[in-house]
Amino acid sequence: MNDDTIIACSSGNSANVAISIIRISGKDFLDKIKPFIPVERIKLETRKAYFTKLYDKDETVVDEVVVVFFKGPNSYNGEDILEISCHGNKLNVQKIISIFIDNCGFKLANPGEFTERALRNGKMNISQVEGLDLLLNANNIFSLKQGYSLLSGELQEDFLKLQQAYMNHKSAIELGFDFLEDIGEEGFNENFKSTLNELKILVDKLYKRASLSTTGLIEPEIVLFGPPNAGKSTLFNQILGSDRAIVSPQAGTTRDYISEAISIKNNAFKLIDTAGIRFSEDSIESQGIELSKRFAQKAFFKVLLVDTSADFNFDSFKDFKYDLCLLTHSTEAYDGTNKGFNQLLKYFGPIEPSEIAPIGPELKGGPIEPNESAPIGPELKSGPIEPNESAPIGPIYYVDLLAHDIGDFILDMVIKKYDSVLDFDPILIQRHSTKVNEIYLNLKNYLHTVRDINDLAIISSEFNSVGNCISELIGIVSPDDILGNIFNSFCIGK
Amino acid sequence: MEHFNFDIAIVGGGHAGFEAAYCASQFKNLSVAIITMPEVGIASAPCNPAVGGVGKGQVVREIDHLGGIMGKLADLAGIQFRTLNESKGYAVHSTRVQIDKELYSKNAEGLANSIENLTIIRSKVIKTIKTEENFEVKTEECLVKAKKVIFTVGTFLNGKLHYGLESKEGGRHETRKAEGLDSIFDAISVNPKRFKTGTPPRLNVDTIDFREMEVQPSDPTVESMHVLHGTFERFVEQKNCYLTYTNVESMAVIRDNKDKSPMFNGNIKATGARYCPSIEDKAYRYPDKNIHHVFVEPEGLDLKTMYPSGISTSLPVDVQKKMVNSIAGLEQAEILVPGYAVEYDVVDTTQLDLTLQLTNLPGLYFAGQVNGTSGYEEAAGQGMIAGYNAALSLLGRNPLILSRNDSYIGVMIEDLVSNLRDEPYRLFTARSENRLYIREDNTALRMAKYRRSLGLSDQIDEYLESFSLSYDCYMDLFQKTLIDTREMFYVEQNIKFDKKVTLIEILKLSHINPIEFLARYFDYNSIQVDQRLVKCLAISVKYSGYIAKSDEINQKTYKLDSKPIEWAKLVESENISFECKQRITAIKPTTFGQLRRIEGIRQATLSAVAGQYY
Repeated sequence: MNDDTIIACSSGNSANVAISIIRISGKDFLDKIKPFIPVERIKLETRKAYFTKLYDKDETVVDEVVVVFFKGPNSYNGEDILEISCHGNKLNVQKIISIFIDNCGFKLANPGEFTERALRNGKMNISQVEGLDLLLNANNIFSLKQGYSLLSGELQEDFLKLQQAYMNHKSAIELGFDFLEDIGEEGFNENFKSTLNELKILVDKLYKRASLSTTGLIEPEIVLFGPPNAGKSTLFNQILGSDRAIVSPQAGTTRDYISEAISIKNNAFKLIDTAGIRFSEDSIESQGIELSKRFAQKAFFKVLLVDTSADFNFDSFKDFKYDLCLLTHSTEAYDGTNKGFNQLLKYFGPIEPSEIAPIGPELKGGPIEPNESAPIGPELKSGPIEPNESAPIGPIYYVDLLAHDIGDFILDMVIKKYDSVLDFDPILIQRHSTKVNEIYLNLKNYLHTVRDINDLAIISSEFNSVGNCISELIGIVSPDDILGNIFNSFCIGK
Repeated sequence: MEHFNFDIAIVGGGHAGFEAAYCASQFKNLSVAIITMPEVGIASAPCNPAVGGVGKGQVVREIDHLGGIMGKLADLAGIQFRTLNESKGYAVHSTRVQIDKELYSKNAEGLANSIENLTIIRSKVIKTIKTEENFEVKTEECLVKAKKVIFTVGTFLNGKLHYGLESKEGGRHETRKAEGLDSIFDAISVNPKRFKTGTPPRLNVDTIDFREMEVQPSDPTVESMHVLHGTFERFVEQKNCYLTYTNVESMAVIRDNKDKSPMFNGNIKATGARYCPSIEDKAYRYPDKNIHHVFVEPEGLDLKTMYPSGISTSLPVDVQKKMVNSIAGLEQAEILVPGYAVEYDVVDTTQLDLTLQLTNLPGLYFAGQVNGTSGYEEAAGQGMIAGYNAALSLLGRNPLILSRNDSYIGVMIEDLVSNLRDEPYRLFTARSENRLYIREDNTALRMAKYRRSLGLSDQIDEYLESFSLSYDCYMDLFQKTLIDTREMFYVEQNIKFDKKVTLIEILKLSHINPIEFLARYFDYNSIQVDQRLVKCLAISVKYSGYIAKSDEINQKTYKLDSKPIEWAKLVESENISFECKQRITAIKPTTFGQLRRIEGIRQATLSAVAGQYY
């Protein structure tokens, strides 16, 4: 902890812009800056904007600026803060900052240091800082929304409700020890059950929200899988609408993965073409296989492409569930000779493609609907969002990629899934979802203890693990670790 | 006016006062005096005729193992023994002994008179002052000079009794009150809140029809309170308690007379304990509930009075009678002593240190109900701590401070001194973070080091040393001896392992009652082991895994507790509710742990404060 006065450009100085904002934060630094900003002459008052000249040490004018002073503790981080809006030329900004560093002994702020001080001075709590981080680094509307919700303390309210439900059940247990003579065995049982049930409902609800992959949502990835030459690169280009990937008729052209950032309705997605998964002596290619498996684990939307005219090794694909399966290179009904495809049928069950028809862009709105009950049921560990569990694969279409551009069709499916997932109000902060998962698992263990162990003292003690996780969730325990994480990934104030 | 000189003077001869005197007088070269109201007996029991209870049983055993007197007195006057929470797990098993309260007090009096370095002065204290070297306690008849003074004045400070609409001054039924602390000893800050407690009417045993009630006999398998008594030894005849219930009619009587209840018509302004509610509380706060337990307990072998636990009241006597007579079995019951409430001053315990000494006036100690606690056991526990520490301080020795991690007394004292109480404090098992470890069965293990630190030598010291030593030996043996469960002895008990195992693994089996099994095991191997030790060993093994886990959680949970906080800064913060700020200002916590333990502090506040560490 230090009390240095810090300074940094708060508005981003990566390019020349019209206006940049330089922020100074500390205690009683106005005297020091007098030679450079005439604070006395302009009669600087808190929370008012002043237009003034900014001077160098030799009293030459450097820039004309607007300054606003926030007297602590009524400021963003509780310290005195001066905001200087100057002309946003990079050199100009650097010049002004170095004037204060060289002459006033101010220090260049570390990443996140302004906010760190807000935390230290009790202006924000941990979850608000996390929210700010999310808000500032959001690349989609939803992250923005949740970032603000955290910053304003809404999500924290939900967590505090959980804490209350925990306390209620804890009290119900304690009643059984210390007040049994007052409430009787029956009153105890009733209270025990009802409070446990309330807690369970809240935890289940949060668990559902936390089970949706967070990494998958903050930067959702659309990943194309399939054996070599199945048409992944062609589809990649159709979605992208350009000739980004190298397309050649020889199997195994795309050895490394190729990714592109795309935007669907103002939401950022990543489109990824994986290497063809097949067993190979070729070391570069097997690396690609590993890589594509890793992609599968965190992908938001997975498309499996299969060339029905060529055999392929299905084993490499069977471990994942796909949102969509495209049968390429043949618009004819399946003739039963492709071993790999036979395996696929066997694995995914009877998928009699009775409605199969060549599809085109006109056929919009595939039948996939992320099913509410299946993918986010409590049995699932936190992981990517899967299509309906009962059907391990989404809809299957025959498609001739050379004849039809289905790029828009795919994007439409992706955004539908995305919207329906967001309806669950997923928890995006990794730390929160991890803790919610821990709470869920601890509660599950606790339920087993309640069932198996006939000793209320032990039951009570076991229940403490649930409370401990909840405390961690709302940031009472080990903030050292939490803060370490936050400030490592922080990139504000500079 | 007569003058006396003592090393330690104790004002008040109740459970706190007598325990303080008994403990301090174990240091034979110190002179100790109890100054008490002439009309009040030593260690008398003005409320329920019982010692022990949930959490309190543990305290009595802690006192007993540290060389205190309460356990012994309870046994000698014990007319019924029970284990509470028997179905709820070993950790929360608590012993309660119904006592013959006359006999209890008589034994205490006899004992007090037999202690050479203890004097009893029966005179009402008027004033206490601090002189340069001493304290001077002025009573109606004499002047006592003492180096240390312990105040154990119970509910007597400015005491006011309420019987329905009538109220009068007094410390308890038919006794005088003491003056307010400000007139006895100025410059001591009292808690701005007055506290209130109450007691039920006493009923004539001959007018009760016990056939209508459930009988609760004494349990012969409950261990005596004093470790040096025989494990299941009883000293007097055992009596039954009885259970009956209130009904719609009894509650209607109370509800119809709300205007006559001093607690609800505004006559009583003091705060009673939420967890020790009067029957009026129950009636008005829970309008839908009409059936409440009433335990009818004998107050002694020869006493005519029965104590109906659960219907403490301060309603007018005629209303009390109507209510009592509506209860099954009490239709004809005659009230011998009416129920009443008492309001009294308590000190601000945040001014005390962990030895219960006033921080800004060293040498002056407070213990018992005057500290805002309820219960004889809590009082005695504090009395013991104050008594020993007054003595240790005179002798220039290290103080005796019990940790909250290994004793209920430690929990209680830390809770008291770190919190301005806003209602009477009662010890619960829930107040301990280490409940699985702070049990009755291992009291000897927990207390041995504390007793040793006193440097006294008595029978109890020999017992504790030998108990601890045996415990270690057997534990070592359990870990080293491998058992082949194919032997008939194990097969018969359905114990089956594929390989050789230690006794520890067998004791942890869920279908095994560890105490019974261990007793059989020792029997089978012809080893003679004290029954108390068998129980302690068995439960310790059974719980060891859970205790380890709980320790781990505690370490995480309380990791922040030692972190310093600046309360003054906290109060300035805008993120903290007004109510929290008030409490913080009152307590002035210096660590996160103290802040966390302040009652009524919101999670949001803790969360905000925790965010400041990095």
